[in-house]
Amino acid sequence: MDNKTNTATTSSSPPVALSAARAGAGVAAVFALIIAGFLIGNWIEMTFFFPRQEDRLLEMKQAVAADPADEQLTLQVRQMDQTLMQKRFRRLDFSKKGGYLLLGCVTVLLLSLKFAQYFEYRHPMPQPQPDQTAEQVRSAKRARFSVTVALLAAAVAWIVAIVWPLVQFEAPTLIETGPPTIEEVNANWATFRGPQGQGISPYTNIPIKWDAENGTNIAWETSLRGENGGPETLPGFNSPVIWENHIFFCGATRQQRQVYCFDLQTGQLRWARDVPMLAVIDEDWELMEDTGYAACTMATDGRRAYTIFPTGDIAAFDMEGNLVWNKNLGLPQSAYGYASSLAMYEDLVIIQFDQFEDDDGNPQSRMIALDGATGRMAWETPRPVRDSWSSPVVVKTADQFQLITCAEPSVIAYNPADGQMIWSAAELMGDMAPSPVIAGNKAYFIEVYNRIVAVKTDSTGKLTEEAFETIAEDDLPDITSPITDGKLLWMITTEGIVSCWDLTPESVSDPSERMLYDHEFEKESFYASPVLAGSKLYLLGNKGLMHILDTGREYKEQTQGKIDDMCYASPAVVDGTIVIRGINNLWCIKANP
Amino acid sequence: MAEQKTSLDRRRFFGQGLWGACFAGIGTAAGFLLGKTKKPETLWQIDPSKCIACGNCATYCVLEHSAVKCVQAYAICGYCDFCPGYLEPGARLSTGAENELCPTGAIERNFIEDPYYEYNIIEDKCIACGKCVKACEAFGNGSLFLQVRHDRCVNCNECAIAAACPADAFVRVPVEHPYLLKGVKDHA
Repeated sequence: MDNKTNTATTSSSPPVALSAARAGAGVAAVFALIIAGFLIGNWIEMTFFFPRQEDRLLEMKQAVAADPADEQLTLQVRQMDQTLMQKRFRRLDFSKKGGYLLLGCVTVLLLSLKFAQYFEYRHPMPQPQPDQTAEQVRSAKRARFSVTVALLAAAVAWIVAIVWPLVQFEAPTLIETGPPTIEEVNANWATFRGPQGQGISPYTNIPIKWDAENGTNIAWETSLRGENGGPETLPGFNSPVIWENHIFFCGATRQQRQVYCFDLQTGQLRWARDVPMLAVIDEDWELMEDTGYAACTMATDGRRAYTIFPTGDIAAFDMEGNLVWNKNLGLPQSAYGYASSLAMYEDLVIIQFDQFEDDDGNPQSRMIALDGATGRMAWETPRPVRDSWSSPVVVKTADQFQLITCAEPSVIAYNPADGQMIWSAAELMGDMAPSPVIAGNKAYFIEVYNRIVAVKTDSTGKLTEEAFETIAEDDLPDITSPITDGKLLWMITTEGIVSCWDLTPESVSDPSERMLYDHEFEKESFYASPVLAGSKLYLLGNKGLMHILDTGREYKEQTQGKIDDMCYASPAVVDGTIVIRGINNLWCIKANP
Repeated sequence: MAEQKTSLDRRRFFGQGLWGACFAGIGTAAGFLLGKTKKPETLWQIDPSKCIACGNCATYCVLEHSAVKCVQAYAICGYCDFCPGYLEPGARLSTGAENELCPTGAIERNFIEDPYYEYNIIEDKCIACGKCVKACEAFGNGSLFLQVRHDRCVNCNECAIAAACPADAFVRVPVEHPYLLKGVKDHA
């Protein structure tokens, strides 16, 4: 039946139809090949050559940025930019249309071939079989060749498998993107007052004696006034922070803001960078001279260094000094000028952005956490407080991390991961500048000119006035922060009175019963907060004299360290080293440098 | 009569069977086509809070011209004169190509009033490289962000960009809410 049909069809098919089908197939095949060739060429151009041209354009753009006056180069950039853009979209358009065209050609080709096959069909005509001997010989040759090639490939693969592990490849550069570990943070001095903002160094090998006059234990000093090869830095009262071999601090004037990175080993300036001014300030805006334009201490997580200025400008630089991000949080309304230092929790930069109320009496203060890598806001929590100058601390309490803050009228603890309030207590009065400290399960806050109080950190919710336990009412500092080893608490006032308080009694009838001693350093004033290292308490006076006390229950000044400089910043302490930012010099003190 | 009803010769059996098969085939084809035309329940989208503007959206999409485009959240935009998403860092305030950050000139700058400018995305030109998004996030208000445009996306079962996304920013969203737009509360 089939044979009959095919025979009839074949016999009736006109030769012109067969020719047309063959010609159609040929033309479609040629077109398909040409289009495929063009598409492949297009793909190669876009994949391999176009990116190079784009890189070249970027290089030219950088050259123009370096020399904006080069009009010839600028013109070249514009022409090349236009050419590349036209090329990009022309090629994309071609790619799309060419794809459809290729599909059409292939369809025509297949149809033509089918028609040609249909018109061309003939009955099979058996022919005498040729001699198979030659074919068998060729087949045997091919088989031997195939086996030889397969064996050779196996041998090569075997050799590679043996040699590969012996080849030393260059290790990829690992980019540290995650947050630092607790151990890393504790080994450095990453924020104001070091680990957890408590002023306590875990190292016990810190120098206890130095003298700039004869160079004893002075590892290096670098001028910050542009003398003796040192850089000329902008003024600032912020304290240095340290991560491994990097020392960071910032300086600013009304017109300019800068971040500095020094080498811990040599004291050489690694880099200095301008921080772009994003804030819009009017001529009436001014700060108190004692606060200055760079009062906030920087923070670092070893991946980046973060800085904030009283204009609300905040920026992040990587360890090589590249600006990573830069934002403005709004001009903070602060009576003396914004001065709170930054805190860190994992990869979050935490900002206590306290301001006085707006004209309608509504609070404007807020806690803000920004993602360190991107500057993106992680969380923001409004705060029912007035402007303050204390710095937030992130501390590990019994079962969780708490972000503890103090301002008028409330002390508030937050979960640093999401900004949710854990507990709060009011009413405290006054301009809050000293930062909180922690001992056991209590946080200690200074209510300026009135008292120092303790609040239990395992509290929850809003606490009443009864939650405050008064620890002391005398010798209260208004600028420096207190320090505690868990049993004793020390304070140093601006006027130079150091006092020690016993925290061990659970309760006392009169707070003065806790006082163990007080001592006045005559003709000295103190802006730097104290540091505790091992069994020594370090008190840095404004004239550069460090008083080093035993941490016993009785007053005993063991030694002193002298530098010839005015000091307002708190010292930074890392393994065997103290770094002091003076007004004129940056000092590094090491035992037997 | 009963014999006539039950008797079914082979010709009728195949004839009726063929009709039944045709109807079944038409029903299956109709069901298949209906299934194809049914809207999907979820779509691919980029979570702007996770996106790090790495540039993968420009190169990993199965479409040659990526289905991901930059989007402008006008409520967040600062309408800056010096827009970090529009101009190269440190560039002069000029719209010359040497100062523009976008490699395809896909951002249009329009004067509003001194010193404010509006920035619009020309979608046909945007290749989703994310350069403007990264710069706006780092140095501006973060009003520029990337979104999968559903008039272009073919909604693959396994999105090639999602597989390559280093920030796991690609998520499935219900078709009723196909976009994850930034709001004023999100920006820093």
